[in-house]
Amino acid sequence: MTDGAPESPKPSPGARRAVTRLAGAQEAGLLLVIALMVTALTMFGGTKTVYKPVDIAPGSTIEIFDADGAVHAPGTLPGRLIARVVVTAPDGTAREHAAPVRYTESGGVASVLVERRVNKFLEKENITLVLKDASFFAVMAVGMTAVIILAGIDLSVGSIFAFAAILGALVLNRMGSDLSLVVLGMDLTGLAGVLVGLGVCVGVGALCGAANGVMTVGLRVHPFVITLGMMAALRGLTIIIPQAVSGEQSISGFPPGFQSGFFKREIMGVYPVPIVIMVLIAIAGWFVLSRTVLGRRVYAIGGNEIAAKYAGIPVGRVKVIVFTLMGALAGLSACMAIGYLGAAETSAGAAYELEVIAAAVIGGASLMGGRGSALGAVLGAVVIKLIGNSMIIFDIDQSWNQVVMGGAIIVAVVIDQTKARLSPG
Amino acid sequence: MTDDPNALLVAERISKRFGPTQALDDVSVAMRAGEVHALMGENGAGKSTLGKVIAGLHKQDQGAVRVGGRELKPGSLDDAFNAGVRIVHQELAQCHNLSVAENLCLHDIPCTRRGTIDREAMRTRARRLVHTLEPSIDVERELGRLSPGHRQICQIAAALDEEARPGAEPARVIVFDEPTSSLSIAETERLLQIVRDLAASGLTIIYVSHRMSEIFACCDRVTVLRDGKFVATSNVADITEPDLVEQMIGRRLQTPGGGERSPGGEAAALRGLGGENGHAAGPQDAPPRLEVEGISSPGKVAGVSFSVRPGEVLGIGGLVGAGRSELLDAIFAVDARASGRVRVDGFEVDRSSPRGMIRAGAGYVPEDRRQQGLFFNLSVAENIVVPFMRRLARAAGVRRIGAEREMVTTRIEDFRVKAASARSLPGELSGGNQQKLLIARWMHENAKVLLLDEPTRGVDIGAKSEIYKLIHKAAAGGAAVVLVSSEMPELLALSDRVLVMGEGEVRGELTGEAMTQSNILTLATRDGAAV
Repeated sequence: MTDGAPESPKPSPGARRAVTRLAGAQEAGLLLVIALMVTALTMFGGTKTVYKPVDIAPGSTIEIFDADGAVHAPGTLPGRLIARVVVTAPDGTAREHAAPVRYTESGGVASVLVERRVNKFLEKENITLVLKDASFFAVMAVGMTAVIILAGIDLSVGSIFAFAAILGALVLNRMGSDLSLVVLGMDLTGLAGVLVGLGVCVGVGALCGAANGVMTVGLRVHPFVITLGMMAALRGLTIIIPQAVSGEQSISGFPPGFQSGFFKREIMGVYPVPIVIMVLIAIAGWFVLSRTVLGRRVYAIGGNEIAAKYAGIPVGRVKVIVFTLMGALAGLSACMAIGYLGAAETSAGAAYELEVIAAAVIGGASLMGGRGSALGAVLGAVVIKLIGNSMIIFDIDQSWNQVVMGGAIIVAVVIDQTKARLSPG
Repeated sequence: MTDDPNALLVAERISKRFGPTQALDDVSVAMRAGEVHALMGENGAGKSTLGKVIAGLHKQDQGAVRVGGRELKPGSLDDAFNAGVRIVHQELAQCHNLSVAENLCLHDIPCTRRGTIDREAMRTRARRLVHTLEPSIDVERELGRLSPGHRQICQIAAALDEEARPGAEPARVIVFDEPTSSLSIAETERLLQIVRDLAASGLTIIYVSHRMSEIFACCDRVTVLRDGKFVATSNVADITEPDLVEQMIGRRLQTPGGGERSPGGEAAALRGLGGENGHAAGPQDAPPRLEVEGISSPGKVAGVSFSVRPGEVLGIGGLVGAGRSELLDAIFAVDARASGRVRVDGFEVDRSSPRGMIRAGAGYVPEDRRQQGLFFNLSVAENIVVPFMRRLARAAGVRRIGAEREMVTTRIEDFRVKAASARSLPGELSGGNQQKLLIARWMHENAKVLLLDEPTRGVDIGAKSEIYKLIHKAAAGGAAVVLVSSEMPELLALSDRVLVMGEGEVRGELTGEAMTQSNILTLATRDGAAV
């Protein structure tokens, strides 16, 4: 409060605590929004029909009956005419499955499928799909939050993502899908693939990010401009390099240990690895931002860069580190994506920067700098993907996705600013 | 008193509440035509709020403002303007990227018949407005390139513009809200002259300030507010400084006998607040704690050298623009282009960044606590601990929260920073407490060197005395203190020696009997070439 300013309103301790609590509850607010969306999607999303295989013990006999009780040989009766199927296990226990029921054979393995009505939204596969989609963005959004807290911006994340993905894919492709590495009797093939993939993608990303940081600090140009340039330049290189090396727009053929062995490893019917990485990055982001000196320096610089200089904070160094971490996270995200999808394309990551920035902003990061949280960024990414998923669940044209997301960004920022006005300071 | 028959402007029973704070509580005051009427009080007393209510910048909850018998629409800047009430206020919008002329004509840009801007007409009009006040202002210059004093004169010129708005009364009342807080001594002198001239021409001037010397230099009457309540209106000629101070803080300060080097009553009041040199400087033969050798910064500071012994307070005097803040910036290595050497306790300090100075035990409270000092998005605790976080942390930069808390708790207590909790944000603190917070950051047990730039700017009289005590405490603890202050009595009362600067150079050093206001001014204003 400078002397010329109005005598500042000083809220009573109670009111102040309430306001502070509200202001600190960005994540709580997001969790509430997510809970509301999940409830609405579960209640109003409706159900769909799926056929689920029943457990069949090896050596079981399968009998298929039509509506008249006649027995048919497996595979001869069309599915809609099957009235019931009796599966008799070798130990003599028989289980009967009434219509609707289907019988299929593939590769000599017989399976009996029973129809189930499941909730369109609240279903294991759908939920993991949403979270997996979110994870690629959330990992980058954590880094973007740190950049935005610094009062910076990084427009090049989508291009770094693509560049790291293509270079990582080229290297992994050279390792090939039939790579085998056995050391001292231990099969390290999978591990080698993962380490090489991570090393290349994260390394390339970190180098690009470091370049952003060094140029921003060294040339004293606003990061908007530097990263805008980087965005275009890297996108170009992403197309040029694979053309020169292999002439392909899409690169696949990775060591299986990298794909199905890790990033797309199936555990209990779903692919949880990207989600686990997202959670780990959220925790690491929280830890770095609130429990390390670097993190607090990031907030200090974003809050008041001049004061940071006077307080002896190495402003330039912190900025370079943060941009480098941002790049490294874009590389990690790229690695997760090519591991999951099994291929890298030169067009990957287009317009990702907008979605990543949106996730950070919905998560409470202030473009004026000084505010934001890693957990908020992850939740922001989840909100965005939930919006996308609700379009599918409610059968709305996908194009509306953009409209709703745009609205969500504006609403989030308005709520945030209203809160900032209410809170003191 | 609101039935004063000579009153031009009457504010009657004004109340205004900001959230839970009663900023103004049933305040009535009447201003006469042709008088300079001061509104005085500590920070938070409501003086500035009252000025803004009168000018229509704030809307009062109760009460009315009448000008020449007409009641103004509450909270309407337009209505107040039409009635001839103007406000000159630092935070008021001026476009720093436009020229003086463009700023003065913004409301009604003169056009040629072809629809383009008539630059000549604009310049002529701007000159007519500005040059009556200050002929040396070039109306074609970008406003942002002018000194704060000249910018303010442009604002006054705009306030006096009779053609500013069709149908509006010409200016009858001008509210000056803390007009001198960013002006140099010379600019202040000029402003006070303008204020007196305006009043002599029949205008009513409402002068919001807490600077004693200005009240006595240019005001006719003074109304004191305390905690949002009216205390008294007096003729300046009939009141003394101690009386005013008593009205402002509600109690009489004990004022010990005068000392020869403290001119005037203000210094006497300062002594009562602990402003007297209450520490004993270290022995004359002690080795210097801080040695500064040939500090230069291109265009700002030219080869300054001095040394300060433990327990000594070295004052730096001079006019605004003399390079005093720039000198401190250069010493603390905030200014990357500065050259020269600094030794603390005889050891050369690495001056590639402020970290070297901080590691050597130096602290720097810069001039502008909002811009250069505090982090308004971090807690009070973190604001103190930020420069030392790395030193307290574990390996790999993981914070040691417990150690940080320990450091902060003792300091908040020792420095009596009044905050709801260590987790409060600095924005919730009063100006004085913000300043104490910033001082608390640097004044740790091992502080060897303290650079203080205007440490009491914009703080109320109670906080001032506490800050003086803190300075004494630091000196008594063996720190070498370098103090820059534009408040002459404060500088004289706190310093053991005074170095006077002008145009980035040391113009002279004053000790003992020679430390007087007039000697400082003589040195500061002397032509550099004559030295």
